[in-house]
Amino acid sequence: MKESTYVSGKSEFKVIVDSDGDLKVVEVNGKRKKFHYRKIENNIFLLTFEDGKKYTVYVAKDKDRFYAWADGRGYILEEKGEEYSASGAVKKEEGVQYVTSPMPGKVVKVLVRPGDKVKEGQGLIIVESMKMENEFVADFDGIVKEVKASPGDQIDADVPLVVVESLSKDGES
Amino acid sequence: MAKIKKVLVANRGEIAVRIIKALKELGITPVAVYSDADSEALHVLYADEIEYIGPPEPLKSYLNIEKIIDAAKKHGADAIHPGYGFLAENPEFAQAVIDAGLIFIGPKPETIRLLGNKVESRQKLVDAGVPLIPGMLATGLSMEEYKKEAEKIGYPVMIKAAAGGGGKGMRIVYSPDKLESAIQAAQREARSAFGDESVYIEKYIENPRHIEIQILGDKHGNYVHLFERECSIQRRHQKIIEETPSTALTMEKRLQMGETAIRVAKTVGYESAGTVEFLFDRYGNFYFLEVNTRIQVEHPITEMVTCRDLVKEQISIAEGNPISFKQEELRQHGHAIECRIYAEDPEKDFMPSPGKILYVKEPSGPGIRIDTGIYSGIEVPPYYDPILSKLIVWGRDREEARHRMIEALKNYVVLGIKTNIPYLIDILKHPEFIAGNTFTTFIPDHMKNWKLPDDIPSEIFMGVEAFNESTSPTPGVVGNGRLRRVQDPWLTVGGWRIIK
Repeated sequence: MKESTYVSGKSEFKVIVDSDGDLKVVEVNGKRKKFHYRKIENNIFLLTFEDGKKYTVYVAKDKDRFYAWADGRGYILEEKGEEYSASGAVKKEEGVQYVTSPMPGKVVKVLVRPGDKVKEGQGLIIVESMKMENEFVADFDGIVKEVKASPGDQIDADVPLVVVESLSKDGES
Repeated sequence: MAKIKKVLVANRGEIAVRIIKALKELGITPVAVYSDADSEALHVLYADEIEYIGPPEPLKSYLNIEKIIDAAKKHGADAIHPGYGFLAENPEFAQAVIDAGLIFIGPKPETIRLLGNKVESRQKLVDAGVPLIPGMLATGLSMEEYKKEAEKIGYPVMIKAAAGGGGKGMRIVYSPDKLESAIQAAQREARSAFGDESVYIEKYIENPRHIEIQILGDKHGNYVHLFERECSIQRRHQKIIEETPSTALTMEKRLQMGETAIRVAKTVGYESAGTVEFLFDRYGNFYFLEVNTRIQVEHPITEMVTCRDLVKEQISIAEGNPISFKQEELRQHGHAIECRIYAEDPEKDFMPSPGKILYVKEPSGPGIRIDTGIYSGIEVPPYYDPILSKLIVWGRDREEARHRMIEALKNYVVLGIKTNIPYLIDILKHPEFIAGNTFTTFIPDHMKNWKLPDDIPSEIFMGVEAFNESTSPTPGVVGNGRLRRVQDPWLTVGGWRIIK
């Protein structure tokens, strides 16, 4: 029996894998289901069930991330481990927003300065990538603690550009 | 007449691949160019000859006129095909190609210049009786003058890049207080996309359809139109689903628009393939928008319903041949839909999603065409437009094409980056799309805050477990004994031959 927790976006899934004779058993958030599988190619898996139904799942893995596809929908899952944080370089901290670009690009405009009060949804920085300007916004009402990029900078993915601290971080109950 | 023997394709991605394939079918040698980001790109793999042209940034490679022309000369190409985007609508480039003694596969430089200058071309077209959107035509105004113009036209107004298309440098402004920042943003985008920051303002028509007419002209004064494409489904003013025929056109209206498009072509002496774009309002009025002086991203749907090859026609016209068919030989046969597959995240305002594609499986079957620039293992670079490929389907009617597209999309597997495929499926299933109520506001009206459900079916975890088990170096229990592969007779039969 193997137990793991997978994270997808904001949802967590507790998954237990077991076997029952020559059947595999997967329990997701408390729901059990038995199946057989067959590897068709490295990334294609045919799941079959005792009621005659079947399901084809495509799976690939890159570092700690699983990419899956079935029936017109894609899924990205990460197995929750102790040794790393979900988005790589940046540690998650309650009430602090590290604004990062998910892809490399160029800083076009910085819209705030350290010490500025910002409202939820307010634009903080504009980054150009793939010929599109992307504006990154504040997740909550807060104060700009740090600005680590200037216009014209070439930036890497997942590197903090602006740091915003929530107004409700301390003090309020 | 000059027989073209070798063509340099000054582009990348799916359109470069599409052109290279046409060249090979014609027995013409294709030369690909590539930047540092594209040394393993699909167009490089398909070409017969390749030339490195510089760093990933477009200005240093795919937009570098000198390097591209040097590459063409070095390889002894007789012609250059620009594809779309990059230098395709740059008159200096077309002129430089001709000055280098090469053939430019596209319209004459003066035609590109005239039609690229929306101000000058509009005046000419008004004089020829082509209906235009109420608007202003001047560029390079001061902020005060822009404000005055916008007041005169009446809000909402649209800001557009004078040099471009494709949604780059485009903004809608609903109130005067937003005008200044919108103009500045549009100018920045225009400069980085086209190297020219000029923008202009026109009346924004609400709830319109985007309907365009494909045209061809040759060096002998022949013009034909190949009917319409409706391209109303757009995000960030960029088309993502196109179809033909349009559900909005009667045969009478279609022919009227076709004739108008030909009038535009004749007025400017258009050579090669081009697209005359119109806005079509709810009352059946149509207004000329602009001419795209290039092969269009969505050209395949026209090819599917007319059974013509537009890229080959461009090449033949560039050689000096007359258009290979007559207007009266053309008919629209069945229905075609194209979906643009983008590396982007529709849940996050279509943020680009470059990165490594771990795995690709393309759909196949009757009536399915894929123009692609990707393969399993390719790294999608962050420097260029996020288009990965185009999925085009043909059906006997719209419903057959729509169902075929949904099934094809479901079987289009791209792992490793986010794509808009699930989003496209939901558009195609939307009752308003099914009803043909496709306005350019479709996405803000019906797809706002689109999200995938949070729930993940347990089968996905089964697949992940199967993957884990089958790739783990010390496999545990293999799923199911009964399904385990028996010895393969083809591997165990030993030496053998077919004797009959």
